[in-house]
Amino acid sequence: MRGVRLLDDLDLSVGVGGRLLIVSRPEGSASLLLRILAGLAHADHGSVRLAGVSRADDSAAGWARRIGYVGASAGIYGWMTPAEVLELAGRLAGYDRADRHRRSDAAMERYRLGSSRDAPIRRGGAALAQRTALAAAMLTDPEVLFLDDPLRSVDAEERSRLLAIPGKRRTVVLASAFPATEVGLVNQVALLRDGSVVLHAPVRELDARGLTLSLRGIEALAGISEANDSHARVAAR
Amino acid sequence: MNRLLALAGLAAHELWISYRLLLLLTLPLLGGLAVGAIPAELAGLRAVDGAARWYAISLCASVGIGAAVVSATLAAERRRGTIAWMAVRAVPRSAVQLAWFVVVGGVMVVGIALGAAAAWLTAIEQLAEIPDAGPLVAATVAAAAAALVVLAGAMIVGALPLPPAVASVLSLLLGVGILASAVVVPLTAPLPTGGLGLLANLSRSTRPIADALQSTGTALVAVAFLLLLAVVTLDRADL
Repeated sequence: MRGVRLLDDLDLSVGVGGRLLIVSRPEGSASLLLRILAGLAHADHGSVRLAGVSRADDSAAGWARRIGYVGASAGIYGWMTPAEVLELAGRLAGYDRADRHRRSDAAMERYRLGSSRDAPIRRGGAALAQRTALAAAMLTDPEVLFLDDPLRSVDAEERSRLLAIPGKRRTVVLASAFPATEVGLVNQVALLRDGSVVLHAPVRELDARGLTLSLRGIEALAGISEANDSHARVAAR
Repeated sequence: MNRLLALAGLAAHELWISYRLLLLLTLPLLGGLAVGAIPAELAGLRAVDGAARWYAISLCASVGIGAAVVSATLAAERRRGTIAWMAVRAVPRSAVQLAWFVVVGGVMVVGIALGAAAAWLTAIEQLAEIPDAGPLVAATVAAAAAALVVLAGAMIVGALPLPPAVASVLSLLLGVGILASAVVVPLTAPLPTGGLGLLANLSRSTRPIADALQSTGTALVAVAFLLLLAVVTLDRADL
């Protein structure tokens, strides 16, 4: 992506409780946006403030508990067990022992980690690692959750069940390269094109126009047809 | 503090299960033990000074390899997302780096101390009268501080956006180069890596303990500065 402007003067707001799907062209823009928001990548300028807290707030009740992020890669050591990962996530979030156990048990049950609880994650492969990563992110009951093309190693049905994130006041932002797989998980959709937001609309607008939740459907809603697209590319050359 | 302990525990476990911890510990020790295998006519000087010189030369290799391990480890941690996993939990990147440095540096220092003890025991075996161990102990402390300087430099390389293999080769070359120059060029000033030069040229120093203290001091200042640079480098990196 060297030399390609992925994000440029972007303006996007999501209300409390919103479930936003972001798709982008080029593909990496949506992921980069989420990583900037989660504090993993840097923007050229500006600052990030989410749910009333800034990235600099590393207190126990600050960023660590209120913001969650799950990436395409689990980022967990293979020798750790799901129980150890959840214990560590609880410790880093500053919960006391009793609270850690309560939250850990609840996450184990919801994400069906019980049978693998004390087995090294590497034995369960990428799917177990990704489910554990999601469980760890949900351990703190975050107000804002970023999902960067998550759980791709989990089978489709199970993935949809796991990503049906509960909580009416929880804001979920999901970046996906395969929007058709996110049906039923989101209620609004945004399209980034050449770094800017060209569409931000409720999913029901797609339904009203008889369009599907797919890249083609979203682009059609944004008024971008394939013919226009190829014309623009030729013009750009 | 609890958080730092948790991170250090993770780093130690990760190093342990991959045998890197053992490598960092045993390399300097093997260097110390190998001193005994050097024929007396090659060892030169008096027994302890000769042993110290060969031990210093072996440290160039073992600390250089340690630096390569540090860089590769940090680069791999960044690549596979474990640092990102910590960062989204509001763990400062500097805390992750510091935890890794404490573990790697601590293990390496213990290995250097054990290696020096092995070299000392080998050297005094042939002597009728046991000499004062003070200069060797002081020089070893200064050499360990010099090793920490190289490891802190490796933390910077590991924080750069480089593949682990490239980072490790770069650190190996830089580490061995810097340490070898300290051994070859006699100590003229209290440089951060001067401790290793002092260890290699113990017989030439008229005030080894004072020189060692000076070198240790400058080395620790250099470590602090290099760690700060490593923190800034990782802070500016995308995870």
